Amino acid sequence: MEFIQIVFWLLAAGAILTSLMVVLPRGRNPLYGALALILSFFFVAGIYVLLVAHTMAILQILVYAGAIMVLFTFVIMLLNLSKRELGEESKNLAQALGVGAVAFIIIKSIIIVDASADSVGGDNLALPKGFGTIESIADQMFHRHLLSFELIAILLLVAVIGAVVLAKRTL
Amino acid sequence: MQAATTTSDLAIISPLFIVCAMGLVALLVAVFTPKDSFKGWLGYVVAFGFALALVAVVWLWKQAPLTLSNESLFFALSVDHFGLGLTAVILIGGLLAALTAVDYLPSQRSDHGEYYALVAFAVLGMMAMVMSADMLTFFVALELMSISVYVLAGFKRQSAFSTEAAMKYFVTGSFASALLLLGIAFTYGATGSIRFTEIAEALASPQASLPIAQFGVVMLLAAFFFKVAAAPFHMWTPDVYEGAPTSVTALMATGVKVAAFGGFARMFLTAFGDARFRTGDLPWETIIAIVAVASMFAGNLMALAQKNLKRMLAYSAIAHTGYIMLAMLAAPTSGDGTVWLGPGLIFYLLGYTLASIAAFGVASVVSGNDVEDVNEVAYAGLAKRSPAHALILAVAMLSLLGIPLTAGFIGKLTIFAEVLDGSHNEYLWIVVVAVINSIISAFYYLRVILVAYMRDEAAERPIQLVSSRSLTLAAGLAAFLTLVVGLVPSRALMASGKAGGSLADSKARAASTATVNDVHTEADAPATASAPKATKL
Amino acid sequence: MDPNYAPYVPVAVVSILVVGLAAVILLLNRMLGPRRPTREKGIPYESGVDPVSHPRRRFSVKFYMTAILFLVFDLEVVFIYPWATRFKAWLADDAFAPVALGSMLFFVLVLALGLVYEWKRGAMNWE
Repeated sequence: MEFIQIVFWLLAAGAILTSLMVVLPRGRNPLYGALALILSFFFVAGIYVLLVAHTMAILQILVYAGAIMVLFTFVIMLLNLSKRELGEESKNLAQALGVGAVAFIIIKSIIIVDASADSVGGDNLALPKGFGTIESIADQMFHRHLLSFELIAILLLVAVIGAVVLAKRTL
Repeated sequence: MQAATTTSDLAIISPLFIVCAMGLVALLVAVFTPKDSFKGWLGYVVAFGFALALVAVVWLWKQAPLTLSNESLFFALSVDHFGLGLTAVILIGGLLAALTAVDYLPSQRSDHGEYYALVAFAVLGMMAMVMSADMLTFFVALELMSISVYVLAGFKRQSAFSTEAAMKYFVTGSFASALLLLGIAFTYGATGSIRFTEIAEALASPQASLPIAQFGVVMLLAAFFFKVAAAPFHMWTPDVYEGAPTSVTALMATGVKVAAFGGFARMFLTAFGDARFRTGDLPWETIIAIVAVASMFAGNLMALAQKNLKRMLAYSAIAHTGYIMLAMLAAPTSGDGTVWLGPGLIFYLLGYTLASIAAFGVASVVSGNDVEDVNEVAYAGLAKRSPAHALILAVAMLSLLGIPLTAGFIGKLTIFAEVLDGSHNEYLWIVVVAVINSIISAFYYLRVILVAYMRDEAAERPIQLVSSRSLTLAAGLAAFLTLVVGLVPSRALMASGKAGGSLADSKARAASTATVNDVHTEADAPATASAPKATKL
Repeated sequence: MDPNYAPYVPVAVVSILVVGLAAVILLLNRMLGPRRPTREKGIPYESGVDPVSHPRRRFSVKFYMTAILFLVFDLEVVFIYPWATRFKAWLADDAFAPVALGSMLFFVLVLALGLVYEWKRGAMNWE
């Protein structure tokens, strides 16, 4: 096995383990889950690095592990639900069906991706020069996706308005 | 760079620009005017902006299909008759919905200027959505629309009901957005492109990875069903429609629905429209047929049990989603795999928009003095108290039911005829189901009219009318237009046919444009070919 | 080594050092330090004021407002940073320079409007 492959498996195992830590141990303080999520973001950022998606890796840490997690921990601390309020974990049919459906989707997608891995990409697998750098993303963003860029400005404005309208005590 | 005769880019995107500017103006006015002053006049300002944009759309309609010379605009938007026609419907809905809020919001003690800014931004998202030519623009536009509407649904801040509606809408809507993103990712993985026309080309090539595309299409379908409130994904609809302020519900039932149908119809027909896929390898048409039947039954049967007018209209919206979906079945296909739409989809959306605005307008009128539960008591005996509003309500109900002389009737007829025509009676069973459902729906629509006309006003709880000229004007205009379109449908049908037919151009145009700055030759043939279909009725 | 990964070698080294050092320190502390816990030592400020209420109470939603507004403006970096890396090259291209400048002007203008809005609405006041 190549060195890069070992690194990949390590990172992937770490990402899956930490993700499981986010969802599995309920009844404990949810802040532990949030911290595990930060760890999982770091592992995923490592996988982005292996994919030569430099900008994505940086943004993953900057935005997700930095900013989004601030929000998550805030929400957890705002609610600060006690064990009593969280209630007992109910195991009903709907949950079982949900787990079954997710498992089915995961297995099915693995089979499909595995079967068609050769046809995807084909000869285009060679990376173009400057792939994954922030400059190449800038070129894409301002040449082909300029309209989306401007719409995102409005979207962020709407997010500001929404936060103020919904959360501010007096308007 | 470009030929002198082509319209400049800024002129082509002027409708988007006008609406965006109106939103920004409304936002500034909202914070720079005194806190407790009447903000309803902003509704007129935004409505004027929508009207202005509508004029621009009509002006562009005459020159469509338009070609954008800027690289990114060309990549992101297709300003054809389809996009412009749906934009016009959205603007009409948005205009009337903005007018219904002017006096309604003060009556609900929620008169804040942000409302109108959010409405403008939501409409901006809807317009961009129906004109989008690639997945990224589509997604950003959909999010812009959705997030604005989530906030609007919770706009009555002191009401736990409204907040709950916003919360439910947000959680289910975000889930749908996640599915949509997943679908886009899978499609990109299978085809290597996010542009609808390029996806179609990539799928047509023999080495395309169909299983992965199939996965993507299923995810896209789920997101679509969520957004238009189709049957297995409709659970949020009644609570959200009921809890949101009625003027917002009006916007949800009209603009959001039109944008979702328009945007997704373009996506499915352009990117996955090949007849080989529709019922074969990517069987989205078959799935839509099943979901349409489920939506019709779920909506109509549940609506029978509803006492609350808004809740009943929510279930009726689910049923209408089923009818509209029929228009996406059996899309006409020419020999080379070019796909377009008949007039049914857009015409039905227009008729549904008008009738919904009229119905929700009256629902706002009778919820004066902060009434939240618009049940039968709230409008029993409306005919004696306010004959005009009762008449508007009756027209709306008759059009939703599909009685002749209303827009709803022509819409249903067109869609049914299209499905039978296009499928060579293969989908006859589904039309039969739709007709049965229309009959079921008569019970609850006619009951509303019965209560408004035959029942007496409850002595212990008299009708609380919101006295509002703008609200009556908007609802009245909507009802009037319902009748006009129902009585003289030919022009609207022609326009809808032209719009639906223009979907076929996208493929031809993509083929004719090797580079971005080429002067395009317009391939009008399929559009004119479908026009006779429109006049046949 | 693949040149694409070369810049990350120092990052990896530092990460491993940081995690390893922290683990070693915690481990040594645990193994070598005497542990005789009492109730007095367990309170958050051992030699300070006694806590007056339970630490796990609900925080005001005002904190959330601040957080989400920070988040929105933080996200703008994602869009402005790429632009900044390429702007100089774009300026040389006469056809594209006005587009590059105009698009970012609009973006910043809209977001400045968001700032004005939130300022005037008093979202940054601690009411």
